[in-house]
Amino acid sequence: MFNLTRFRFSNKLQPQKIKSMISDHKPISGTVEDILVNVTKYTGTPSDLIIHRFTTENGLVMAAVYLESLADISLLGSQVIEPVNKFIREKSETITAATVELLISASVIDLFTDFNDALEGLMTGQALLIVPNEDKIFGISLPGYPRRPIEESITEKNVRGNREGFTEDIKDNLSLIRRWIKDPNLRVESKIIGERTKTKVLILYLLDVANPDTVVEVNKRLEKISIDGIIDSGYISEMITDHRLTFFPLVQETERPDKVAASILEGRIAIIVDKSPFTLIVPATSNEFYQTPEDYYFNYWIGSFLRLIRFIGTAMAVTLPALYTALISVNPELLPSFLIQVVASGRTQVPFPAVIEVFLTLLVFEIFREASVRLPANINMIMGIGGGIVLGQAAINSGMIAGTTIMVVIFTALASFSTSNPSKEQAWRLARYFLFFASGAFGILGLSIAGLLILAHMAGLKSFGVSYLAPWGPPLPVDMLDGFGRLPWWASNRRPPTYRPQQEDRLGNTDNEEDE
Amino acid sequence: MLKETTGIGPGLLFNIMFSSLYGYGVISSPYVAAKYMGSNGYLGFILAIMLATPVVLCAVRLGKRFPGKSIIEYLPLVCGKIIGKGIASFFLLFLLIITVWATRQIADLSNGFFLNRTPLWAIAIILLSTTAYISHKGIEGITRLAAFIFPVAVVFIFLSAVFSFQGFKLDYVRPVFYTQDYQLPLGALQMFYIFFPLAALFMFYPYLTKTQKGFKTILAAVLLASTAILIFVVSGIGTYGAAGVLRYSWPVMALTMKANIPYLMQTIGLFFVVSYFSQICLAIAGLYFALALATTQLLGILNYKRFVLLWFPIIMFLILAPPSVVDIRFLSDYLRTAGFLVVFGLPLLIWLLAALLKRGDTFGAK
Repeated sequence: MFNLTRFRFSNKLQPQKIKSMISDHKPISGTVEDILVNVTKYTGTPSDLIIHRFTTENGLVMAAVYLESLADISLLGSQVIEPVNKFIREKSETITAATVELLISASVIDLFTDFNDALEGLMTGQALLIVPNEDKIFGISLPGYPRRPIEESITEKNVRGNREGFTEDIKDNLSLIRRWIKDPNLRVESKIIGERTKTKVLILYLLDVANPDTVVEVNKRLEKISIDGIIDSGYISEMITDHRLTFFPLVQETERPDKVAASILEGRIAIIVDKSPFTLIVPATSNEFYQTPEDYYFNYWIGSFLRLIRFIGTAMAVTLPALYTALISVNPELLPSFLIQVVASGRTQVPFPAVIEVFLTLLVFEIFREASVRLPANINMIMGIGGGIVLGQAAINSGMIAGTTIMVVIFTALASFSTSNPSKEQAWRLARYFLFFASGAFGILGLSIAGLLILAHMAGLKSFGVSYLAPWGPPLPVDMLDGFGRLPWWASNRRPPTYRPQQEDRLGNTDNEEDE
Repeated sequence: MLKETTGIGPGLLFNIMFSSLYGYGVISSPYVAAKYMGSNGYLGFILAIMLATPVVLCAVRLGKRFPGKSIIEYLPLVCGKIIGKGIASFFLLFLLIITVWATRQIADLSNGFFLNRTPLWAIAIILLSTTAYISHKGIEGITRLAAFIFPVAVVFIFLSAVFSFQGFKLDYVRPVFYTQDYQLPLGALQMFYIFFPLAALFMFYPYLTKTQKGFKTILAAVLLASTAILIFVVSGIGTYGAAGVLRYSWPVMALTMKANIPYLMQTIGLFFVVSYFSQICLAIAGLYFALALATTQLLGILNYKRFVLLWFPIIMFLILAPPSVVDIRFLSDYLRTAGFLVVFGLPLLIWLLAALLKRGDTFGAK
């Protein structure tokens, strides 16, 4: 029988474990040189580690340590090195901590009394100033790492409205939000998550609007996260979600600051993660994933129409392949007679059963879609024409696939992008296959049952205590009006009760003043 | 963890009661009406609606008298421990029977109309698994699902109902208001089967958060579901005649398959089927949940989720026990009569006993 012990690594093959040199709390002591030795020892003397020594005829008086790849060297020179050098040249006094505080003109100065904290500060881009005979080290924030400029969001484009999108810098992202919300009640709480990445996470909410229980819960879940590194906000999204086994997104992600600002005004909570352009918003109901800020920039008739189109598009994208398969393979009696003729005539030469035919076409299209993400832009168009059109035409002409099948699959693929949120669109992508296989096996009954199962699954989901199917289940009449359509602003003087805000009335009168 | 509250508002209760009543009762309604009352079958149904009102009233009154308790929990308080538990067991048995009955009904329909090459046991497994999954979600999950489906389903339901009048002939429902002596009460008794899901109401009521709106909400659901069913009864008898309706196993299916929207849709049947499937599954899920919860409360062990799984093989066995539709129809007549006694008689009896013996919160019950 299979002997697992053969595959156990021998001690010789196991990698040697290197113990971390960072220990708990280490007070700052020793001379400047001693501290410098410790810094190089604990960091392993990386190539971008720069040690600038300030010396006089008496010897080493001070040192500045920074990482060249993270610190702004020109600012460091003008705000730190130059003033210190000038002081040393002009005065022969001993440099003390008080002297340094007067000399440095940087706006953010931290004082570290623990060596490990100082190292952390160094790793986040701070320049350390080591002063002799002091039990503290100065940390000066002079970030000089490369930052992407503010551009339009790639995943959430719009015709009308703001064209700013979040970047990977948390400070830039916070400033984008602050430019929308200038209320002093906007609370910004900071957390550090990730043992090795020390990723900064900000929680934003309006103190007098957001539900306090939800705020507490968000904080609690973030504090519970224990991981070595956060690379993207998606990590946090997965770890704070209410239900871990579902493929439906329970945390909304967006690249748009206007969406985040609008959500905060509704009483929701935003979570900005450093190094991620996707900001999280909680709680998130299914309805939110079909709304875009553009709905509110256009007239409410147009906004309502756009939302309806999204719902119809999503419904068709999810159910069309399943419905098509059910009607042509299991329950053709439900098709109108003229359609039966059209479908049957197109499938006379097709060698595969309808289920296999549709499945293969869907699979081929999924492969195309996945490949196109990684194709260079100049090849993408050629592959689209060659692979899509030519291949599709060849398949129809050869009789491998019916024209109606290609039509259904292409329409499904296009309609799936009408869902405005990428995470939700991916979830429906999976659900589509479940519906498809169920209808292939059991026809209309299978489609109905599978649809009901998916909806039942969604009915059991909650996002931070809010039902995922709200405002439909439980029914909230005011919110329901704003579900399929968009209420005009003169009728929207209340916040959606779905998120249980502390204040349901929006400030100010949104009634049309001309009517008064 | 955010505090989990298990409670349903009036809106959610309305939706689950509508789904339960409509899903359970619609498919055989013209058949039963025609069988017992001929062309005046709808009259019996109207009387049955009137008989359902005191049942709703009893549920609300008993709910106020015993707040936060289901019928299983207050039966021992009213009737004594032994008799109370005995009656509770009987009530539980009734829930089991109507759950089995409903599932077998939809399984037979699916087997007869859509999947005639698929074995009945396979269809029954799929249906029961689905309803078990839904009932596993608890009262909040079931009611939220019902609420989500309701807006679309009710449009399809009434669309199907209205368009089913295409072959309507007034002569088939004549003479109006002419019945023989025994027909009307017998017909009402038989048509009362549509309100059997009200038995589950006695298990759902403790979850209702705004009890002051209970009566209006439940009555509204009863009336809306009854309206839809009444339309189908009238349409069925009016299209095929009383004798003609009896030729069909599922006359409502035949009605909707025949109905069409000129130039747009050859058959309304698809709309009706999808809406009906969703409603009957919700109805069965509600009954299944009530059964599981009742078992938990009666035995005082485990929780409803475990009993959903434990009841599964038993219900499956009972679904497949009657060999054919003919046997189901044979048993149905007796079940309808017995069910009337349980759903109509039992709550009234409990309420009377509770009032006479002054059990429960008499101040709140007034």
